[in-house]
Amino acid sequence: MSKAVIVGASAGVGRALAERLAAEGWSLVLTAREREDLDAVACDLRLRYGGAIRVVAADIADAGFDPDGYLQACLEDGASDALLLLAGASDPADDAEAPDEAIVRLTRANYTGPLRVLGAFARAFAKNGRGTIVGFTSIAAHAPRRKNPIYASAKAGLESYLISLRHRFADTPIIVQAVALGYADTAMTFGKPLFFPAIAPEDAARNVIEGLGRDRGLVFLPCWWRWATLALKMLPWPLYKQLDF
Amino acid sequence: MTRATLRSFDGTESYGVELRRPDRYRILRQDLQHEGASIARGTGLSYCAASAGEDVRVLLSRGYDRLLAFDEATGIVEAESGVTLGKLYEFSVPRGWILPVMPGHPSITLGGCAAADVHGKNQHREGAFSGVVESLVLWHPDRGELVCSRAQNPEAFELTLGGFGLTGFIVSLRLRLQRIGSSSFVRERLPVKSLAEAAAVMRARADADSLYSWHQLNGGGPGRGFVYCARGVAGRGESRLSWAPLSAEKRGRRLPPLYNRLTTRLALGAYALSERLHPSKMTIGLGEAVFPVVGREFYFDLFGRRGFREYQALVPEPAFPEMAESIARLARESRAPITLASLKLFSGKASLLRFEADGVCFALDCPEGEPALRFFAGLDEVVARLGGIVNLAKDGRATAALARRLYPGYGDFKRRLAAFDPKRRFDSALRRRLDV
Repeated sequence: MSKAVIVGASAGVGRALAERLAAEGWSLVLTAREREDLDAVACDLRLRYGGAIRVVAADIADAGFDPDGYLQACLEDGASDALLLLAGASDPADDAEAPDEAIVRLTRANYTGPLRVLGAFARAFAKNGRGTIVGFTSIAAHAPRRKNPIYASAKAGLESYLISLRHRFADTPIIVQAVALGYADTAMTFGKPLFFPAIAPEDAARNVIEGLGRDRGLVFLPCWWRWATLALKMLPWPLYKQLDF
Repeated sequence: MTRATLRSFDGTESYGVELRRPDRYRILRQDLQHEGASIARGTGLSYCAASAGEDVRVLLSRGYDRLLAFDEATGIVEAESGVTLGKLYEFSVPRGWILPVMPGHPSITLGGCAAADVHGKNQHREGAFSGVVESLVLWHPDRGELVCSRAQNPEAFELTLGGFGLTGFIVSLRLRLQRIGSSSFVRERLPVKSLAEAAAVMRARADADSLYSWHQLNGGGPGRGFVYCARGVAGRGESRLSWAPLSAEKRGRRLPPLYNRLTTRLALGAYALSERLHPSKMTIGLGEAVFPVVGREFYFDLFGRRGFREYQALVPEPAFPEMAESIARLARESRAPITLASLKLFSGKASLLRFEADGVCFALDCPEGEPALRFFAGLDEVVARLGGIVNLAKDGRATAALARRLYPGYGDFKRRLAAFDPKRRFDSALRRRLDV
């Protein structure tokens, strides 16, 4: 029976992944900052699917976060087959004039924290000789603009790190994927006018789980974002700077 | 968060609201703390605007749709308020349990059921939803988290059941399920010549598991139709439920009003004919018995964007023959197309603004328009004279004056709600219209 650790499991795409994996009989370790949300998700999944669902509350962005302690807590009931890392944070104050505190906080939440978790799990998977890592980044990483520069650049850094991990573990049983997520119908986008349709979390989860066993590297979700961001990247600066998105 | 326009399910009202969809408990707490008024919204299927109001902050309960605990020995389930009846059905039925009081559609949320004190097809035997609630957890920005039951915070408990969300945000509920007796039912269709005859036929079969009637009132007659009486039988029936979500936003969005006097009379005539072509006794499964509307949601779409109105009221049984005669007469005089006319038997004790009492309950659907308003205004007078009540979750034109006239508990509810929520942290178009 397979086991997955989901970081960022209390809402949105993370919760949808937990639901789908539980339905398919996976045992799960769910992580998020707030225990009360995790407990509700875990109770629901245990009742409906009967599997082994544990929760480990942790704030990976916290300065005092202990990745090895966290890893131990996640693996105390056995080795994990997969790590799905969705944690991140955005902030309306994220722009070129954001205060220093926001830079530190958002970088920890979107880059440093995730890297520390990935590092711990990469070490564990390397020791076991197997495992799948899926790190979620964002289309924002591929089309930097005046909004959310800290978030977008952190995701770009995270994506680069994931591709490096993939390279390191190439030709081993360890699979590393980066999923650049487009607009998803979650709290991040609710109520905002969007130029492109938002994917339902359930559909995003289905796509990710179907692709788990494959060495697909960097994927865009939905896939057409690859071409949309490519087209944006190819715009000459005088046109690009006019964009307001 | 976003500015949005929310329509009532019947399509007759719409309001500009601040809409939020919190997905974490911390966010819900934050969203409840603000200067203005809030209201919780489940699926928003109350026919009138009970979970919307101009400039009210509407908090969708969608993110709180999780089952929390289930006791296999006692059948007590704990669930968040955003759990739909369909989700609870899919969980409990394979385990041999079912919620004994279930209103029309699986899309309705448990929080909505409690707030409107809903009823099912079997009200006279199972009672109303308030009877199956063991306890609930209510959040109020000034009062904090209240665990409410008959023994703990009983005032909050009583006001919240049938309180239309005006006491706070119901976060979770503990409900007493019932063991499933049968998953297979034999449903008998008995022809009746009038509304009054239907009530008598139903009374004679009051021990049935499901009992309701259907009538054609568009030809000027006394309401020829059928009584449907279902009884559980041994044997495994089809209990799987396959359903599509119902929503106020999507209802009839792309259609003009298609029911008029002619089309309604023809449609109901065709329905009666098609029923007569089927055997009068049919075996149906649990899903069909509990949610007969599933698969037939197009009925609501055919009203188009303009919408419809439902008059649902309850009069004491001895007064029903007079009520029936008035319904038929007012139907003729108003010339309102009546797309649905249905009766149910009710039993209960009147309290506050809950739609509960002993008697015969009738529901009448009409496309929105002057004839419907004339028809319903005429019905108000008769219901008041006969000592009946109207269902305030359905009727979007019920005024404060009418509610005060019909409900002995009106003043009591108003006074106690003001004492519970003096700063009016929860508000809605319904509350404003009824002035409670």
